[in-house]
Amino acid sequence: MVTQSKILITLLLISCISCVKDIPNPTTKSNASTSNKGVLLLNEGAYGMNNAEISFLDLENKLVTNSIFKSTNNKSLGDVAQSMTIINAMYFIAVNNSSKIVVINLTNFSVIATIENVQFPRSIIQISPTKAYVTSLYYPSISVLDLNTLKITNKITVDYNNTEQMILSNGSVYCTNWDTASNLLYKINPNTDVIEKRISLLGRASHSITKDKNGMLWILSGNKYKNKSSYLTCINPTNDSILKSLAFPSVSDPFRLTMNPAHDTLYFIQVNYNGGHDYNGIYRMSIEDNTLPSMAFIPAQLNSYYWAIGIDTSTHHIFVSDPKGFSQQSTILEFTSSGQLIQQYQAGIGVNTFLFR
Amino acid sequence: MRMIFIILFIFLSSNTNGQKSTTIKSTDTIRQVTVIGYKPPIEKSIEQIIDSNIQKWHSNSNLQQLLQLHSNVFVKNYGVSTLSTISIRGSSAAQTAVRWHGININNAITGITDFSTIPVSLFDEYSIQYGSQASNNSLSGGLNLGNKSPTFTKRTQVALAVGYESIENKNIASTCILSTSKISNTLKINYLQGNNRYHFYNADQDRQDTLDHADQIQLGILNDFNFKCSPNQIISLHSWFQKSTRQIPPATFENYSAKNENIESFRNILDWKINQLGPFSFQTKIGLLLENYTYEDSLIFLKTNASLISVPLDIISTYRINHRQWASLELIANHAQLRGPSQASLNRAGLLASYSIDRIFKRINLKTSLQYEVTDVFNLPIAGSILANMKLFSKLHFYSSFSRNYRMPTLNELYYNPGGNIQLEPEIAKNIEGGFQFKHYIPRLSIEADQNVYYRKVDNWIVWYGNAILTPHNILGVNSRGLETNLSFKYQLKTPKYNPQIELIEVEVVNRSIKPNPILTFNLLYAYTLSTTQASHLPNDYSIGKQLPYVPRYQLKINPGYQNANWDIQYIYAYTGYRFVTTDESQWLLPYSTSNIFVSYRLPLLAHQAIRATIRVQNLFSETYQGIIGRTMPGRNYTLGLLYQFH
Repeated sequence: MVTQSKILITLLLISCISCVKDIPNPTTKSNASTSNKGVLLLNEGAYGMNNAEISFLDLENKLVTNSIFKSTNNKSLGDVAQSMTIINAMYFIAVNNSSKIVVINLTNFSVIATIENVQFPRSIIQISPTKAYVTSLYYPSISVLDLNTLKITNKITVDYNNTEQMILSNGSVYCTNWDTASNLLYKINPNTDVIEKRISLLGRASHSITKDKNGMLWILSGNKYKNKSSYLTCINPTNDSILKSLAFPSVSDPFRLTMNPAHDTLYFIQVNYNGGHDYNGIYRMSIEDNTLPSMAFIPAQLNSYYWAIGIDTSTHHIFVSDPKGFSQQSTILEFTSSGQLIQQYQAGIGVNTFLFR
Repeated sequence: MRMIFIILFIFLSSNTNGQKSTTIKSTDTIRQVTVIGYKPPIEKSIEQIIDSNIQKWHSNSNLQQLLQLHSNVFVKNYGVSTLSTISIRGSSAAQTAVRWHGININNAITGITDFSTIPVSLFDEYSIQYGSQASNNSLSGGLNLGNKSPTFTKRTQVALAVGYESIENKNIASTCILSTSKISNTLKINYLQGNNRYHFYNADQDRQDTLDHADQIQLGILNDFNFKCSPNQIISLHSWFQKSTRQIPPATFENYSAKNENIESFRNILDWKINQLGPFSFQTKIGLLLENYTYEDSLIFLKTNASLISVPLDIISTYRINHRQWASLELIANHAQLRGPSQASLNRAGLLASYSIDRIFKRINLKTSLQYEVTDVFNLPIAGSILANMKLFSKLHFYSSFSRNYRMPTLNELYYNPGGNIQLEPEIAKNIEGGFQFKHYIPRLSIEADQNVYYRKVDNWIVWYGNAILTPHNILGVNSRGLETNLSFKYQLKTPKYNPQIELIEVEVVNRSIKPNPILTFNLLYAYTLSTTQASHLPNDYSIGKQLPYVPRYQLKINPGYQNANWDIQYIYAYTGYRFVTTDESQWLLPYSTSNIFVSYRLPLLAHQAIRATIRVQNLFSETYQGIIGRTMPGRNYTLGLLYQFH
């Protein structure tokens, strides 16, 4: 019995030994300076995790500072930060699944105001010194935001749910409508908040819009998972006529339409959530092209896909985010304008926006 | 041999005493027990059987509350009334099998079981298998649910229990057992109506909050019908209807919620057993499992529905080669089909062969299994296991096992739209583990200790990646290793007196047990779990070498208690360590510990009747903690229960 007890005690003591300390070892704080030339990154976070954040990539020191919002304000930004817009020297962040807009200081990132009960905000656009529009997921409306009071003062009702990206052109606001039932692009008078015209597109579910050096509007539409093929459409805003409409293959899923600094080349991401090589990566084409690019300019690596693209106006370097399934921090890849990878950075979860400053 | 019977007797009597203190009266009836011979503890060495007393403390609860206080599994709670899954040794929820009468009842769509929808009172027997064996068809272990085997003695037993929880939940449960020499029927019903309303500090919104939109109604009806066709043949029909309608409350970072769930299942198993047909025994089980799930979120105009039918088949034949050796062959098959527009299905069939031999060199027992299955979607590897148990000393057993097993992708992982991935391969695991069991019984003291260490390597680990669109991938290689401790002491405050009329070889006890002694008890459960990503197909994967999300490295439960004929008083301290919420350990939830008190008092009534009153205080010191991100659990809350039994 004595021998057995000794064995028992020895074996039980083993159970007290462990190899790994339980206290997490957070990433060492970066020495990056947010006042340097760099790029502000919006990390949308993982859906349902309330972990949206802001990071800053200091391009002078090649360092990233993460968790800026929480360290400044001692609270979380919210759940799924969809977009970030500079308005009147403030950042307006649409936090989609928290149904709020967080307004923060441009230099020190402290919260100035939180605009609550905005229905699933997606994009914000300033249309005058005192007014902005906010689009909403799931709802057929555009909210009118008073920039003096930071309150929603009006709503513009549209025909379908899921209002999405907007652009101001020739004194009108053009708003996409990312609903598979809709093939419409709304032209809105920002003075009266009235829809002046409904432009019918060839494709349904429009979501991205940008403007080229000639003032022409480019619109991406489609929803692969709801069997709505994607189209890239060019519109002349002076008469709202469609100049060209290019059809993507049904298996492709393009989004994040972006212009280069010269506004003569279109960039967009095609995403393949299965992480395969097909239709997966950064694509680009000249605004003069009449066909869509068949090959990726920067193909995504196997088992990954890209989630955001930004182009530095000074260096023309291309910044791309790999969200890694939104279950860990993103990798930011910096490419030259010819597509050569020159640097990688570790940012927050799900980087979806680059704001260069 | 005689010593074994004495040990067995003492063990049985101490257990009986423990149970009686909270049951009917100072003398009790236990069913006829026939001890045929030495039974090696080989199967039990990897199994934790939940004590019937513990079940009684939780008779008004759902299973997740019992598991999180009395086992080494980690319970991942999505809130008080919402989804609750378990992880054994760092596994994912789908890698854990949940078996009812030996049939895996994990939802074939999601691959998981929601433990918040299983009332404890519906079953009499719960056991947890830690580790993988070919026969348990899971990567990490499993949970067995069952009810007592029919006695086929003439009796009627009725029990009625009511409960009230301070979070505004009410519960009623009943059991009715009717038995003759040929037929036995057990009907159990459990009904819960809850508001799940409690106050808590909402750190995300920096305010005091009250949980809202958390109402639930839950109904469970379970019927076990058994017919003894002949002395060695029993036909059983087990039916279990479970319905849960519940609101999903807002997370702490949400202002409101309009999410609702409706979960319905109707499970049936027809079981035909033929025992001791010469050296053969046969068992045939065929199931019909119907499931329906509806999710609705009126805020975003979303309503989804998924229905499923599964037909599992299990035919086991066992051949007793001699008194030391057994061999069995098992045919397993399953058809699972989504009902509705998708019509996706998954069919599989296979053979499982097992062989057991006892007392090699008088000390070693061995069990081996080999399984081969085919499916109509993907190829499966051969699974196998070997388990050895060696008696080092009279009270100390050592055991070791090695196994190779797999988990098939679920229907959701294959066909979910959008995101399903038909290219998925099965997860494949190799497990090795070893441990010892120490059992020491002297008249007033019993000590039991289980200690094990394990290592598991899983390839093709399936992970759902994405945000708006989630897709499953065979991305990771994951290594899990750790150790588990289960210690139990029982000390009788008075020297027990045993009834000399009890025979040791052929035991039949009817109203002959003695008044139970007061007992001091102490239980300790400890789990150290490292479950880390070792390989990944993702470029620049920051999760390499990091702990998997929602797998705590450390868990500890300490449970001192006191029992006598009428009173049962228990204190349970439970500690859960850090849980990472991202795969790269960049975000985490803080550790927490709760103190819980259980008090039960049995009122003596007339013969054949008893009333037991219980009170439970959970989270005594109102520790603020979250089960997962955004779901703050209740502070101090209590449960009152009253049980009436007639037999």
